[in-house]
Amino acid sequence: MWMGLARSLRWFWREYRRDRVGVVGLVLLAVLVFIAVAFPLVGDSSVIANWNNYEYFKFYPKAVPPCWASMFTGKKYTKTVFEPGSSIVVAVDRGEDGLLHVWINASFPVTGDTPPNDVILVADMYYRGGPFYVDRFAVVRPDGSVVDIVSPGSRVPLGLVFGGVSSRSGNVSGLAVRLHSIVQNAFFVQRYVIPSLREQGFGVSFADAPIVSLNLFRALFSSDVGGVLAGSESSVLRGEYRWVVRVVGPGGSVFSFVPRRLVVSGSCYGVLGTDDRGHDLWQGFLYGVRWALIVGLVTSALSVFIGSVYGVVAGYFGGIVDEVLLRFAQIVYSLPMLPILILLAALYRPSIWLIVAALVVFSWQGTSFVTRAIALQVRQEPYVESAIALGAGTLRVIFLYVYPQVLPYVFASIALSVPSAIITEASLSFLGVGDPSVLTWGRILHEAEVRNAALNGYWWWVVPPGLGIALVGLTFIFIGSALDRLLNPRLKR
Amino acid sequence: MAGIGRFLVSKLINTFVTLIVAVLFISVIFAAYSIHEKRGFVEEEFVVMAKYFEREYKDPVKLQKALEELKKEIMRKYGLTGNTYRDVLREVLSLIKSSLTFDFGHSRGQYFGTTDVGEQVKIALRNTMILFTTATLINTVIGIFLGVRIARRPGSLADRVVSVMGMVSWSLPIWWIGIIFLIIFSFYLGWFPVQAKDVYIALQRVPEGVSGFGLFVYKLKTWLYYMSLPLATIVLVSFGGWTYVVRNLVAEVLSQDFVQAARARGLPERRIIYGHVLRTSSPPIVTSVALALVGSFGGAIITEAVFGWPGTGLLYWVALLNGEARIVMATTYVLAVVFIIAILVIDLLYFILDPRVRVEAAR
Repeated sequence: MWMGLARSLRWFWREYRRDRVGVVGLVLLAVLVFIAVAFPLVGDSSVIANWNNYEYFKFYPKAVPPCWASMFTGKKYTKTVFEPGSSIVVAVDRGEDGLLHVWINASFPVTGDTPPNDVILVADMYYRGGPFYVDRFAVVRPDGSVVDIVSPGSRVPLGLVFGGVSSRSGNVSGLAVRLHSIVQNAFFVQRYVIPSLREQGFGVSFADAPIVSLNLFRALFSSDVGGVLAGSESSVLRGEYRWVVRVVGPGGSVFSFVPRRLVVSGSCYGVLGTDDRGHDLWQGFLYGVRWALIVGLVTSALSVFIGSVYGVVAGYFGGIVDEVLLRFAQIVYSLPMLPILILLAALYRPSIWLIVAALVVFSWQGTSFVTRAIALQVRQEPYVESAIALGAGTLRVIFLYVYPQVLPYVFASIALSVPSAIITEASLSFLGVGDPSVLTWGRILHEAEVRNAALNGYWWWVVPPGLGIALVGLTFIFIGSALDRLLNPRLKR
Repeated sequence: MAGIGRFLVSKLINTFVTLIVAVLFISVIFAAYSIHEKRGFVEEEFVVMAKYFEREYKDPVKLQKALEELKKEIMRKYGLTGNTYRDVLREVLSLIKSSLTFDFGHSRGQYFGTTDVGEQVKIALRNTMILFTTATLINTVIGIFLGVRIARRPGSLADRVVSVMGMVSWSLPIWWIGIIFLIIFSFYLGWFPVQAKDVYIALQRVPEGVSGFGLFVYKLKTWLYYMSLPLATIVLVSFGGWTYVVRNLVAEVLSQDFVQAARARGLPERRIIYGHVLRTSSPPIVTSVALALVGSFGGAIITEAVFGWPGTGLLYWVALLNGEARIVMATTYVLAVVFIIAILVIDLLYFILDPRVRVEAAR
C-alpha cells in the first residue's frame, strides 16, 4: 500500500509540475511560508513586540514615505539613519586651565532636499562634582562653515541643553538630546543663541526670537543660513554634518558620557515608510504574512474538513438523517456571516483563535453540500455495497471507502477557501473588532483608516497590507485551481 | 399544482426557521452581553452606596440586612433577578418584542441626526439598498453582455483579462480597493468628494430659483456625484467575477446540440443567444449571481465605511468606534432579516426561471 502511495504521489507531482500556474502558486507559497517561519531572521521581532509601546517608536520619523518613493515624486528625501553609539566620538581631557573638558562629536549625513525632522543623540550620562556647563554647541556643515549656536566660552548650564537634568550631579540612562527642541527653547534662544548669531554676523535682533526659534533648525541645514533665518527659502545643503558639544566641569569632577546612538529622523524611512506613530510598516507587513497564513489555512482546513465529513455522513446515510442534516446546513448557510461576526466580536472582543473558530462555524456548509452530493453517488457503487455485504462497519465504510472519493475535492477547496477566510478576518480587524493583541494586516488598515491615512495620501501605509492579502489569496487560488484541474478531471475544459 | 404549493411552503418554512434561528441567536448573544454589563453597573453602584451605608449603620446585623435590601433594590432598578437564565430569557423576549416593533431604544450619541436607533438603521438600510442595488443592476447588465460576448470567443484577450480579473477580485477585499481609489481619485486627482456623507449637506444647498424638474435633476446629480466613487469601486471589483460566471455557463450551453440545431435552422445569432442560450442558462446564472451577491455583500458594506457613504457600513463603523453596542445589535438584526429574505426571493426567482424545478416540484 505504501508503495502505491509513493507512486501515486510521484505521479501527482509529475502532473502538477506541468501546470505553470500551479507551480507559480507553490513557489509563492514557499516564499510566504519562509517569511512567516523565519520572521525573527528576516524581520525585527522587537518592532512587533513593541508595536503598542509608544516609547519604542519615539525616535522614528512619523508618517514618512519609503525612501524609494523619490523615484516617483522626484523629491530627494533625507534618509533616516540610526547610527550606533560607537560612531559618536567622546573625548575627555583636562585642559591647561585645570578644568575638565568633554568633547562630544557626532557626525551624520543629510542626503535629501528636505532637512531632517530632528537629530537625536541618545546616551547614558553619569556625572558628579559639578556644576557643569556647556561652553561650545555648534554644527559643522559640509562646506566647512561652522554655525555656533552657543558662542565659544559662554557658560550654559548643563540642564538647559541636556533636557532638564541637574547641572551638578546625576545618573541618567537613555537621555535623549534633541537638536530640534533645543533650538526651539525660547529662553535658550533669547539668552544664548541670538547673541552668538549676532557675533557671527547674522543680522538678527533680539525681537526676532520667535522667528529664529522657528527657522533656526531649518537654517542649519540650508545653503543660505542667513537667508533662512530671515525667513526666506533656500535649498538644503547635502553632505556630512558634525554636531559638536563641549561640556566643561571643575577639575575634580567626574563626567562619563556613553553614547548609545544617534538618530537622524529624516523625511523617508526604510522599505515601507512609517505611520503617524513611527511604526516601521515594513516589519508590520512582513509579520502580517504569519497571521494571514495561520488564519487562512487553519480556518479553511478546519471548515472544509468538518464540512466534508458532515456532507459525507449526510449523503451516506440518506433518508431522514440526510434531510435533517441538510436542513441544518442550509439554515447556517443562510445566516449573514459578516454582520453576526461583527456583533459577536464587538460584544465579546474574542482572541484570534476564537475568531478563527467563529469563521469555521460560518463557513463549513458550502463544502458539505458538494460532498453530500458526491457521497450520494458513491454509496451506490458496487464496491461500497460489497464492502457492506462483507460486514464492514459503518465507520470503516464511510472513512475508508466513501471519504477518499471526496478527497480531491477537499484538497482543492481547502486552497480555494483560504482567501475568503483571510478577507473576513481582515474585515473584522479593519472595523476594529479583531484581536487587539495580534498584529494583522487588517489591523494596520484599521489604524490607517482611523487616522485618515487615505485623506492624507499616506499610500505606503494603506497599499502594502492590501497587496499582501491579495498576494496570499492569489497564491492559494493558483494552487487550488491547479489542484482542481488535476484532481477533478471531469471538470477539465 | 399541489407540488408547486408544497415546494413554496417548504421554502417558506425554511426561511421562517432560519429567521427564527437568526433572531434568537442575535438576541441571545446580545442579551448575555447586556446582562453581564448590567451586573457590572449593579456592582459599581452597590460599592458606592455600600460605603455610605457603612457610615450610617453601626450595628453589623442591621448593616448586613440593609446591604441586602440595597442590592435587591439596585438589581430591581436594572431589571435583574439574580438568576442568569431567567434574566437572559427576559432580555431575549424584550429584544424580540422590540425588533418586531422596530423600537431599538436610544443611542448615547447622535448619528444620522437622531438618537433613535431604529431610525438610524432605517436611514442606513435605505442608503445601503440604494448603493448596493444600483451596483448589482450595473453588474448584472455588464456581466450578461460581456459574458455572452466572451463566451462566443473563448481564449481571446478579453476572455483572459476577465478571468484574471475574476481571480484577482476573489482575493481582494473590496473596501481596500475603495481606500486606494480614495487616495487616487479624491486625494491626488480631486475628482470626487472625500466623504460621501456630505451628500446631505450638498442636497440642502439648492441653488436659488430651482424647483420642479430642475430640482429633481439637481438632487439626482448631487446624489450621483457623491455615490459615483463607492459605486464604481463595487462594480469594478465584482464585475470580473460575475462576467466570468456568465461566460462559463453560457459557453457550456453554447456547445450543446440544440444550439447547433437552431443555427442550422437559420435563426439569427442574436435570437439564438438571447432567446435560446441565455434562457437555458439563466437559472444557474441566477444562482451563481446570487452567491456572488451574498459574497460581495459583506465587503460592500465595509466599503461604505471607507467612503463615508451613510449606509449600514458607516453606521457599523461609527457605532464600533463609539462603543454603541445597541446600534451594532440593531444593524445586525435588520441586515440578517433583509439578507435571509433576499435569499428567499432569489430561490423563488430560480423557481420561476427553471421549468425543471417546477416539474420536479409538481411530481
